[in-house]
Amino acid sequence: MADEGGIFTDESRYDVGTMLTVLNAARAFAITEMYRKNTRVHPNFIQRVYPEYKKNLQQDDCYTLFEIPRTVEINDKMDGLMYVGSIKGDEAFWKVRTRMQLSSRRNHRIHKLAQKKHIHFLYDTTRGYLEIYDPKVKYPLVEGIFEDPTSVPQFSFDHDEYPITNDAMKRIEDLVRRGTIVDSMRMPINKISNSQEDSNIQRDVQTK
Amino acid sequence: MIEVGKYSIVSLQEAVESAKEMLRIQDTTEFDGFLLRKADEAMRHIGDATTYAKRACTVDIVDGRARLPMGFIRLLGARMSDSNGNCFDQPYLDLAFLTDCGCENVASTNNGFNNSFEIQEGYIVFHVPSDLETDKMRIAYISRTVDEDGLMLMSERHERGIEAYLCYQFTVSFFENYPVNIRQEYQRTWKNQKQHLKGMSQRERFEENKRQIGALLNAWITSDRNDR
Repeated sequence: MADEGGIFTDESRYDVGTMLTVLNAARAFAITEMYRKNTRVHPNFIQRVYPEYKKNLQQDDCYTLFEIPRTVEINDKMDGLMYVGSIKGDEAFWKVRTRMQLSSRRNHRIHKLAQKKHIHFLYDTTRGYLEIYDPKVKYPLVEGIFEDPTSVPQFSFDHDEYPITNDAMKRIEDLVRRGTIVDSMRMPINKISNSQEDSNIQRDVQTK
Repeated sequence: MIEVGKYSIVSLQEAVESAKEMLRIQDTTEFDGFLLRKADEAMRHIGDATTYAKRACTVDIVDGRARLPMGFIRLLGARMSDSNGNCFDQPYLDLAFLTDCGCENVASTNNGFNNSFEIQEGYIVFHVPSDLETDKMRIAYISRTVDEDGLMLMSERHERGIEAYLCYQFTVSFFENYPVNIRQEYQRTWKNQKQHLKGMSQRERFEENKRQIGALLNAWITSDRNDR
């Protein structure tokens, strides 16, 4: 990808899919960077999801499973889920970070009590599931910062704007230009199709 | 001096929310459990006079054992009655409590230790459960001021101290994110608040008992014995 010497052809990997991935990664980086600076997330980045209850997805009577897209990890305390709770938005469920934490919390009376009084949830990133520890919850509301905003179920390319701010756009542009385009232009073109990273060797040969 | 907030009971969750805002972690619920646990711990740790209360309740006796209520500290008295309402076997004596049911003679006649009990691991355990004629008993006891779930009740005046304790504990737990002076500031606030609350409750307790103390002293000073 970075050995085309700034020449973009049909065979270049700078198609829409690749660029969208680069854009999303840069967006995540920009959000993390902005949070570090301001300790806040601009509402423009947040998307709303109404996860669909699927009966054949359920595995246990104790909790309900929902599919949700991957989120952006902002720091060690924030994993990109800004709200998981009742559909009215007036009751946030309590987050459990890992299954291990869920298990160890059952050893303490106050955590056990809290688990009885408040609905808890676990975001299982390995499976892309949200586990809500109350089988009665069928229609939750999730607000978050998602890795790929266009993959969010209710997102429409025609009607919805890409969730971003002007500041972040400028930062992303810098990041993409510096990290992807400039890198590719710095590298000399690889003319020999031999599956080798030998651009530098070719340049040395030509110079001599 | 008017001290407010003594009788305004608020939820521990309120202190948790204040601390979350102070720490700027209000965008997540991940630490709510941790902070709630610490808030309860802080209330127990303050231990001022308002965190104790005299209470009474009825407990069920199952297999010769009665589970003690939440927050139980010390038994003041126990009262049992059979299905006809007749009181019997009162091994622990607190006269005011025992006669509160209307049985005037209960303290003098049925207070033998023929079916005594002891307290073990959160239960009242009867020595001879087969002799029991009732499946309920009413007890008076000194308790921590807890709700029905066993969580400490917090009054408005405690909120600032508890909030400081939560912030202190959280910043200690995540020490890599917070400078030392911030942690020390929270610790200082917590210590000062704790002392202030203890002192205030002691003064109030004295004010409440002052009349009684005065009456006792007057009686002692003016009694005939002093004239001899």
